[in-house]
Amino acid sequence: MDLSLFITYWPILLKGLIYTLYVCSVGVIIALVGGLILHLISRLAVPFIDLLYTTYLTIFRGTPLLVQVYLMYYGGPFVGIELSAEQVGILGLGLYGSAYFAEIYRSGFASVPKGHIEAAYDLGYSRRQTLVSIQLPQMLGLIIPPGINQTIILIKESAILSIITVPELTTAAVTMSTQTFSVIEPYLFLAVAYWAITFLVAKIGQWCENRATVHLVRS
Amino acid sequence: MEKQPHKAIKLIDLKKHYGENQVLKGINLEIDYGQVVCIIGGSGSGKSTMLRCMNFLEQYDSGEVQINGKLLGYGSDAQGNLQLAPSHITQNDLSEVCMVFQQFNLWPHMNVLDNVMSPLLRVHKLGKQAAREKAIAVLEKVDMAHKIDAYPGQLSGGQQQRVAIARSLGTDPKIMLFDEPTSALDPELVGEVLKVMKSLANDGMTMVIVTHEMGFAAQVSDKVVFLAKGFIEEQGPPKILFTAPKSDNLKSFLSTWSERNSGIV
Repeated sequence: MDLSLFITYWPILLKGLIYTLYVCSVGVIIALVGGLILHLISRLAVPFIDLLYTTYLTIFRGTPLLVQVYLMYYGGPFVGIELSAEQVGILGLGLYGSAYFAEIYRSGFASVPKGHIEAAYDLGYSRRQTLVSIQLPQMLGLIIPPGINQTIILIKESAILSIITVPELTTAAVTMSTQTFSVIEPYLFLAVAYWAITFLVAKIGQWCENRATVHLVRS
Repeated sequence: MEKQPHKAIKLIDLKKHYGENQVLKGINLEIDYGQVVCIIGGSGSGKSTMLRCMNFLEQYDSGEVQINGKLLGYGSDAQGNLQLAPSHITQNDLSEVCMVFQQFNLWPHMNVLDNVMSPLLRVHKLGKQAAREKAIAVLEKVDMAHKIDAYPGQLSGGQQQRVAIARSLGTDPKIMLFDEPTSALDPELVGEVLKVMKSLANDGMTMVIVTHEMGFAAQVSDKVVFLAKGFIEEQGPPKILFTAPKSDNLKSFLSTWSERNSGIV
């Protein structure tokens, strides 16, 4: 192993790392918000909207992210949608993640007992107040573990964006590999870097989960 | 208690069905302010459904529920046809009605104090200090003020139910509905909840209680209502109803109950 390669390539790799963090952060935020909106819309129980919701889920959960971003980036211009690689990357992660997060929210809402909501209505809470102060805080503790899981999957999937030339971490490592004919150094670095990011996310998730489930601690 | 112009609760030919199953087949009942009314009957007789119609947790199909003289949950449109009223109007009509549930339904993510304070802050718009004082006052009333920092999961069933009663009391209800408040409790915890309910009755609270505690019903209620198969089969003061039941259904209901209990003693 030739560690001296990193003396030349650390600026490129660092830039890639920062870019990955940026693309993933924005992508995950879009997925979190988009998923919630998707789920709330699906709760309206209008047949037409239900059909749209199911179709969305079928498309984005039923096909590989690689195919989705490929179609968006290289196929988009044919139907008049021209987006930059960065835009497709962020949007791709966001739309793809939204489908998964919507289902995570659904399981979270379903886990709040009906009686807790009835008690709130009985005491005069509006629907919005019930959502904000009874349903959301209760489901938070339950959706954090699957939510973190999904976030980690999205971060790892973001490596796919190197295919459409998004200048992120994997692209940087591939550049290093092709320019130096080395394999072990760039890809081992890549593995460690992704591991470090997901490890950090998992730790933050654990901390959030502990905070959100203080009430579940038995005396 | 001062004389009120209207009945606290009035049910007129109340009907409700779930699919094929007609649960309430025409209930007529009047409850005065200050009265304590116990509803008894076998399972599936419609007790809980009737109670839940009284605060519109269930929409009824026909007939009327009146709270303090006002039709609950429905209003008439320009043509005089009954329409479902907007929920904020229904909620306003129900502002003096509160329910205590069999499963307590405390919010598990809030501690005892927050459970009681939260409706005061959010619905009744009290200031933080005022809400806190009021919450502690009602918690003292149910003897739970020493547990304000505990979460519901850390309390026994009896303690949870007492906090739930305090949460309702905080909102100054005129009418309290109890849906089998002691049925989910271990036998040794039933007494502490009944004691709190007794003190409420002594304070003159209007109470409608669905219960299987016949001894309690006999002691505190002004009127006992016996429901069977969606009808009120018999109603009257507990002394008469329990000692001289007229209908066969009530006779067999009471004898089953006393057999079960005498077996223990």
